[in-house]
Amino acid sequence: MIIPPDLSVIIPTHNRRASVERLLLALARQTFDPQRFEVILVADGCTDDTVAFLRTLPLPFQLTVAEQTNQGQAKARNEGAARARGGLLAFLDDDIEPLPGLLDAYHEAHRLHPGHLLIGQSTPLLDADSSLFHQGLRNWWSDHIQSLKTVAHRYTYRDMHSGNFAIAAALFTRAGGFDPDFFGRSGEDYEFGVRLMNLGVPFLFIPEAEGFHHDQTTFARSLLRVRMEGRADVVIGLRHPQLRSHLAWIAGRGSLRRSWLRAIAFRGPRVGDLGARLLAALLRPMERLRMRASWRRVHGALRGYWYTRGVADELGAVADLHRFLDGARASEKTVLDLDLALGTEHARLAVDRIRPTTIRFHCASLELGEIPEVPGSEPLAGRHLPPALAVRPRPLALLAGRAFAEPDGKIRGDQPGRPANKALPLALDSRSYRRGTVTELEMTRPSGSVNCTGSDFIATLVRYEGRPLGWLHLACAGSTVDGTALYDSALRTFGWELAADSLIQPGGDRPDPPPISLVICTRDRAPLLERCLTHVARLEYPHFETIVVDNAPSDESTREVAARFPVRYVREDRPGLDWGRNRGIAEARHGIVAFTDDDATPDAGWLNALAAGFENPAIMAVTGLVAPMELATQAQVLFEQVYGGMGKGMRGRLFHRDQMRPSQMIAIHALGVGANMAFRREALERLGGFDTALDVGTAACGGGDLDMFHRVIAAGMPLWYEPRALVWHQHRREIADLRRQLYNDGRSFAVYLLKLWRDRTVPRRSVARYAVWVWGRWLAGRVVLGALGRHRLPFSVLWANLRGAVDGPRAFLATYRHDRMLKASTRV
Amino acid sequence: MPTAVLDIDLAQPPAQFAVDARYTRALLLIRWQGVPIGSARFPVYQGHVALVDPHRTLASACGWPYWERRFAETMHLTPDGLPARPTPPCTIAICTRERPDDLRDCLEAIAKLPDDGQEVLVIDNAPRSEATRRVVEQFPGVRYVREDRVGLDVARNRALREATRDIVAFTDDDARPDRGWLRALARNFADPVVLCVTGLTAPLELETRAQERFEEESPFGRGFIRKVFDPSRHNPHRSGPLGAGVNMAVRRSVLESIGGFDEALDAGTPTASGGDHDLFTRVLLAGHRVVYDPAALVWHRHRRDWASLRRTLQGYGTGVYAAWTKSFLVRGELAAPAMALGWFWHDQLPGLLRSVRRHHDRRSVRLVLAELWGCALGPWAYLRSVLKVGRARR
Repeated sequence: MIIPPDLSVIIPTHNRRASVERLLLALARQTFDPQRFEVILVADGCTDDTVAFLRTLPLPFQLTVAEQTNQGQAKARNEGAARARGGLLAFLDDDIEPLPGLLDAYHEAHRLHPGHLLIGQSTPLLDADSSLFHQGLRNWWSDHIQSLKTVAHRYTYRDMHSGNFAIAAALFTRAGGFDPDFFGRSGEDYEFGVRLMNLGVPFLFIPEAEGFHHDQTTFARSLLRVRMEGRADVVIGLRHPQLRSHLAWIAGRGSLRRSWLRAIAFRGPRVGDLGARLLAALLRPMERLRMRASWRRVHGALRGYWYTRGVADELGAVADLHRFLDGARASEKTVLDLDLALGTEHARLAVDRIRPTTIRFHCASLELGEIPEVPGSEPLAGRHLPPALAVRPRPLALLAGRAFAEPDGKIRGDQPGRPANKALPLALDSRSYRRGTVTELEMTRPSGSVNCTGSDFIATLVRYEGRPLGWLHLACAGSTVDGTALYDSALRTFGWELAADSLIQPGGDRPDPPPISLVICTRDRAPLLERCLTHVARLEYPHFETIVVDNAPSDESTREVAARFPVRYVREDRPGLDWGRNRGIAEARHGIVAFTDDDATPDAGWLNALAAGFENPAIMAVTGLVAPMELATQAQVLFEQVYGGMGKGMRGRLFHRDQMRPSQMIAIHALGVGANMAFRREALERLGGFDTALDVGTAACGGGDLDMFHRVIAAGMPLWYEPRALVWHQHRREIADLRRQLYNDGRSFAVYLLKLWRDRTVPRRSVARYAVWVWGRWLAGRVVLGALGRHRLPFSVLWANLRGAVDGPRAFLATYRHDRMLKASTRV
Repeated sequence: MPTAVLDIDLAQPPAQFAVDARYTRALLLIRWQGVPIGSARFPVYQGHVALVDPHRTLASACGWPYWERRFAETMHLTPDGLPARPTPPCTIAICTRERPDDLRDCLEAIAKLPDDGQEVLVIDNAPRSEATRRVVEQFPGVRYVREDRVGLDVARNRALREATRDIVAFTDDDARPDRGWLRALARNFADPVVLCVTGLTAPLELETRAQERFEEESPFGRGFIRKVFDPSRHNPHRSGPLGAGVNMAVRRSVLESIGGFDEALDAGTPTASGGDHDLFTRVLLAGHRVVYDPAALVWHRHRRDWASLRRTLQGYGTGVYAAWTKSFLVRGELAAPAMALGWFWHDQLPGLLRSVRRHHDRRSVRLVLAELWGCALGPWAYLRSVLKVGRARR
């Protein structure tokens, strides 16, 4: 009784005796038992002595030689399959030299994955010929094999190469074998691949099923093959209309080169072929002259031409090409909407269950692109996800998912599957907006609806666990804005910052919070002070003292307000904010002194954030974010949004002399403002405190904070800007007050610059250059625009700013004269 | 103004960033789970690095490499898509000449590498004393090979011939390989077309102005993103971004396939350098690939004194031009003189003008001139070197 073999190896050949001999000898060396496989060699119209020679070869396995007239490889393979008795068919081309483990690998893979198409590895032999053509071919193969080796490879019908593969005999028959119509065109393996894909046969790469590929492709032959590929793609398209779209690029418009190629290939093939041959002849001298880039360009063009020419061979005319493409049928699509906020595990499971052809990614209401449908490729599985998710910015969305997900898998403030696009229109062009409502949105808490009656925009400070992410400006149509819509808009705008924040958790144990002395200087503004102190009482900091410095008061109202709060009241009779600040420093008992103004209200976590900055012993000063308390009037909107306001951004920043140019050390207002600053006491003492000649209450009208920042930097001390340290400031409500403020700003900045000139803490050249720039160009330009009515700030306000600057020198002399007198009088 | 060099792993950040009080600045090499992902400079004040909110600040200084790692962690994959497979067997080769103290430190660092069965070779190039041999004898398992013909590339070729493993990793005697160095280099050879892999080089110390200058002038580090250089997308003569000989690994087969290192180039010959870059160029010209993988880290001690810094930069100029001269004369590569012209016109000349005009982003005039002078010497140095090699052969 004859036991049928487990495996049949089918080899089509055509007049290549040496190759066949090499292949058969390699098969004789297989580790797989020779009794368990047979080899069927189909001689496709061989005219040399191959067949006679084979009969003389001593081989350990059973060899069947079938002969046919020259009818092509497809027919030869079908013939071999028909004669095969094994349950598994392994197809090898005669230019493959299998390694000893190849058949074992196929047999084992078939046992583990029955019903799969098994693709072997054909390693091209790196021959010594290092012509550009062969280099390119070798690198292409290497990339192709590397890609097949990755777990996430998405198989397409183009991975089915007939040189080295295996398939169950039953499956081969069910798919209908190779199509003999491809005789003279090549591409029958791709077409077979399409049918397998349509049947839902999974493909699998078996790297152990390895054979050396003695590729004898020459440059001339490769161009011929490109032409055959063009023909084959048309025929495949005729059988499988969903694949016609692969040819759409030929008919595409837009590229002049492509239109030319098409015109010549379809209309004047004789001229085209002549030109192409001439160009091909030119390639050799180009390579010799080492013109690599040009060689690649011309080679690409030639391939494009011959491919188009192959298409033209099949279709005939351009009109037929268009008719062919019009007949393209969309393949069946399964679309999966994947919410990344639900996490990677969910995503994997969902994709593996549904096996979609297209995946659209989103995270809550953020759309994140898609994995497009590729005709002729396998449906998507979970293993395809990682590389697709690594495309920026999807990873962040996944991580963001963690931030939003509750332990039970639900999403905070948003339901999965809810349609997106609920976000409100952004008020990007704020030109027409006059009155706004200021709100705050904490992303970790659900927000209620916001009343914005009478406003035309809402300015929302979006925060995540207390950290400000940024401002969200929304147009406000009705009288209220829905909390969910607000949340969605914030998510859309600040999704990435949120995701990043959720990943960066403050690590390790924090040191004990250092005690802080909080100094508030005030002058005859008891109602404002009361509001400020109310907020100070709500600070969440465990260890601080509050000192209210009453600067040259005209009545007792401040003392009365202070008495109602747990604060220390100190009276400083010398007028001037910096006198008050210095008095505060003298009264302070702790190592860190923080300052705020009476017209500001600190956020509950303010001192905690300042203290976090001081955790590093190198940091000598910390400034923070100042946000507008209200934007209810024109003056406030103009100050915040046009003049620049007091905020210095939402990113923490370190300032140090080494990293700043002189101009940056002069433009010190980028570091912070006096309403929100803190210093180490030792630093203040080393610098000699604030300059009493400056700031409100003196002729200088301000600039004490700027001067202090500058001296901190000039002394080489590091200063940290911490946006989490948040203070709300009430801007001036009336235009007249705004005018007054900008006048003071101009004047105090002039005094500050003159002080830099006097003290030479930066080169005088830089001071002069900066002064010319800021007044001669920046401010003067705005004044001219304002005069023409082309600037959003009224002319009177800009003019006041310039007038203040002009008054600077006089104020400089006056304030220092007065300061000397005051110091002399108090010393006595 | 010395700069402290700190090695920080963001996954386990230290509580305090304290350094010696003499430092005024700090250079941080930032890693995530041992893999370098970025570097950043910070001021130092009173012995503390001015670094607030370290995790956030350093993460944003690193940018994408950081997020890539964090993401890979959540997805349980290797970030660059390379398979996590056992390291193929390697040979480590150190070519040295009369620097026994440096060599001892280097061998100590190599002894700390995880044992994947690697072989360590020390090629002693034309020694005048027995000092190197005595140092090597203190390290069991390190093979000492004496090469009497002078020249770094001669020693490198000797290393290729002596090596018994398929991959040969080179480093210098004044460098200290990091723990994961060899594995990181070796895994890139999974692609059969890759012939050469280079890695990241970080300064071991920045104590003197000369070392600072060297780090600014020609940082060995080429960024923190892995790059594959394919000849079809990269001009083979632009070998600067590919890496340097202080941190590279090649397949032993380069000896046969492209002829190994050119013995007319590099230290010990009039050309002073350029052997590594010439090899990269030839690997690319032969259609193979070069990979730069920042995960392979080597710490290098730059020259401390100003005179050697100037000599080194001049030598770089000479080496690069010598290699281009060779390409042009021997292989008829027109791209080489084009590169030389482009470098001069787009980089060196503007740099010189910036220095002369005292632009804030300027190099030292003397160093620029030293480099230019080195370039001018390059072609002549190559010719002299070729004649010398020819004479020696005869």
